[in-house]
Amino acid sequence: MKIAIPIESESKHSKLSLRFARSPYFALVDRESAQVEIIANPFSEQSFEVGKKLLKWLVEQHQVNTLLAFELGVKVQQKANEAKMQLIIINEKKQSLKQLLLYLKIDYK
Amino acid sequence: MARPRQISRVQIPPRVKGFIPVGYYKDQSEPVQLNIEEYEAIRLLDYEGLSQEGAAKIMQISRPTLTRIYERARKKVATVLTEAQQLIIEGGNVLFNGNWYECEKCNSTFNSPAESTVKTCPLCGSGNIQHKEG
Repeated sequence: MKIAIPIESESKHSKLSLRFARSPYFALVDRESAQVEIIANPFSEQSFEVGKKLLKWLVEQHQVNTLLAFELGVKVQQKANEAKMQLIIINEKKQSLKQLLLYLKIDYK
Repeated sequence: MARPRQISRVQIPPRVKGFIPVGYYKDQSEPVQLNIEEYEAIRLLDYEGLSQEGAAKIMQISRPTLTRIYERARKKVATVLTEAQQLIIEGGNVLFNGNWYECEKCNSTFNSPAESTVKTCPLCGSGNIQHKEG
């Protein structure tokens, strides 16, 4: 399972980003190997079909199969359903990446 | 005889089961029940800003049906705001996209993409999860 988490900065203390498709960065969490990689979102400043391009990139280039977010836009939800991805919707806006990694039992140095 | 209601598709279950007014209010009458398809109509049209055609397509219902659902929803929300009533979000004729669950420990909501049964929360690992009916 590889999870994409939208975050505001490159730090492990970064707050969760509330704009999934236009999030500036993503933390990619590999649950099997307990590895965390932070990547910049190349589509965050684009105007059209951002959700569609982002999901294709996350799935094909990074093998992501799970999205974790506070809120997902309609287009992202549709594309994620088509790709049979798992969606995890959290109920707290102000979570940091560090707090979410604690839930996932991953120690990110 | 009334026509049977169309089943509406709902992408993600509502985050909460309802709302209560803040502050003093005298009349604690029966809460207003907003059906889940009414919640979804407000979410798609007012929160996401979709057209009625776009929202009807996502909910897999006709546009006139969506219009009727939306009008009922707005009337209920207006009643809640004006009369300071409690709002409960439940019921209706809906089908969620896939199986959805709620974790009692971390309060996350998650789906089962393969339509299989899930036994633990994918976020915190707790087995204390509830299937969301829809």
